[in-house]
Amino acid sequence: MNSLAESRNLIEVDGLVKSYGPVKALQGISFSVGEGEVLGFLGPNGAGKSTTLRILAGFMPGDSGRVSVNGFDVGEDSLAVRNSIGYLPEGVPIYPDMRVGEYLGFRARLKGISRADRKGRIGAALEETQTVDVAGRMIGTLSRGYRQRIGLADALLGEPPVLILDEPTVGLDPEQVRQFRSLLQEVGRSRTVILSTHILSEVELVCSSVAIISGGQLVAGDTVENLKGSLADRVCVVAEVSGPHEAVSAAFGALPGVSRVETDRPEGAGDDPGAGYCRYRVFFNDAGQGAEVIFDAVSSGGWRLRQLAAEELSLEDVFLDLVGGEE
Amino acid sequence: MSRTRLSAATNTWAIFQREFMALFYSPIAYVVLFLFMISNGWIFYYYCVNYARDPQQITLVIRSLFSFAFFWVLPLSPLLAMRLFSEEKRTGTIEVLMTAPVRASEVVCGKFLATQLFYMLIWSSLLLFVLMLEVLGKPAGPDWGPIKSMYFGLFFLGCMTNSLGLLASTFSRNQLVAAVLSLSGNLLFFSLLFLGWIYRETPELQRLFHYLSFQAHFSSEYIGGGVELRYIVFYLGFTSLFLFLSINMVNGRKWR
Repeated sequence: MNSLAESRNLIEVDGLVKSYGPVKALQGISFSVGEGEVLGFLGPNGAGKSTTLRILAGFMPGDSGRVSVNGFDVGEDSLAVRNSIGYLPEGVPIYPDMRVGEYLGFRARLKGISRADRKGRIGAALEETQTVDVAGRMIGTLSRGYRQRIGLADALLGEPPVLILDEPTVGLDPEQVRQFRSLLQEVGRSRTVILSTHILSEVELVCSSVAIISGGQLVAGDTVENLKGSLADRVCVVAEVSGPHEAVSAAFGALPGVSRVETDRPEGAGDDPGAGYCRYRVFFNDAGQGAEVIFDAVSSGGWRLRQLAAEELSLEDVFLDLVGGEE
Repeated sequence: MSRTRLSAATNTWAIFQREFMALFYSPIAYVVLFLFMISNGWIFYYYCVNYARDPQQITLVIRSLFSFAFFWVLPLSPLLAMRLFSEEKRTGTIEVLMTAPVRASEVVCGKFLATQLFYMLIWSSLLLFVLMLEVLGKPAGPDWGPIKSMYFGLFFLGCMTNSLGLLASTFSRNQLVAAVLSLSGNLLFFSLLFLGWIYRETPELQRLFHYLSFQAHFSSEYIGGGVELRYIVFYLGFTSLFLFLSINMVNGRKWR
């Protein structure tokens, strides 16, 4: 059983389609998450992240396609699926008129935790999410960050093998986000986690793999390293150049192998040469090109160059490349 | 099998407790209780002052009290039940609730039972007035027979109107819409008696409308002091239907 369990996928989604009336929210999404994996689910707003997670959590059915969690089919064995997940919906909708301890007690009963274990489990969940001090408070009076953590405590209550977290760090302050990430890393060691977010650094820090979704379609799905690796043969050169903005951009854009040029120069700023330096990020399609070509372009244009550096591409670039490319 | 049955019972019980407490947290329950008691208290006072001069009048007082209070049958369930699912849908807590390992039937039953208990609690406040007559009206006192059957009938009627209110609240995330829907349902049943009166030329129709209306059951119950089985069947039949439809609504949720 153990040898089997080691390699099995706890979440499997195959050809999932869902539409809300005429709006196609998901157009055939497939991915899988293995045991002990932390998958970051990335995408712009309205891409279908929450819809996918809701279907995974058994809250609503998909139109077609097969979804299984922990080996159970979401449609046919919904109760077993819901028994093996901890779900934190977007916005953390929890009863405002209950006290924290009372609420977790209610949830523990729903999750079938025996009376003997209840107190210990609730205590552990409060401990893990650092919410022991608010256990007697009314949920409605808590700050967003605390409510978020209570939601997470609830998700952890049943010690489920799968955690589904929809935008779990929204509304947390930076310190809480840091704590939350370390908590997640800890939790992710023994559980399968799928979390949606639009914060890319979060994914790079916490997740072992990424699925990027846009317009209801999966545009990329791989480990963080592989995704970044797929871009590694592309180069980004940062150059700080003083010169007429239009001409510099055009010259860089016309270089062989350049896919796009980004600049931080504000629109409509004057074009007097020598007035100030402007930062350009030049992306190359193929390796082997780079700093030399930029340097040549700058010198032949007679502009001045202050800085020239090759930059490692971050997940953000992958994301913008994949999602922004459709515009 | 027995384990699933046990978990169904614990889940229903957990939902029931949470829902019953929520009724006490919400201001609407207190407002309803206040209006209920003040309107009935006034009627009680009015009849006591004007009629209860001799012991024989006690029956009249009680009868008037209950026949006026009976109109509360119309708004009471819609007011108590309107938030059951609407509120959960509006605030999104339904998502957390329904992704816990609970069945729709357990959620529906728990919520229904909590409303039913609160409904009976509100009605039981009338017993204070009856007790007053019992204590102060000596040596005569109220006749408890009809009162018992009145409560018996109210219980089953409450089952029906509460389940209708619960069903209505699964339709909309707006409490007001839910309340208006179930109030309309109640009014429909209420007005059937008058429809029966309009069709009094056709005895079959009149009997049918009479049977389907709320009040007919009660006037006969109250006078007779007994409850007819067919009325209980009628109420419980509709209750099961409404609960069944509610479970289907919750199960087949398409809302976002």
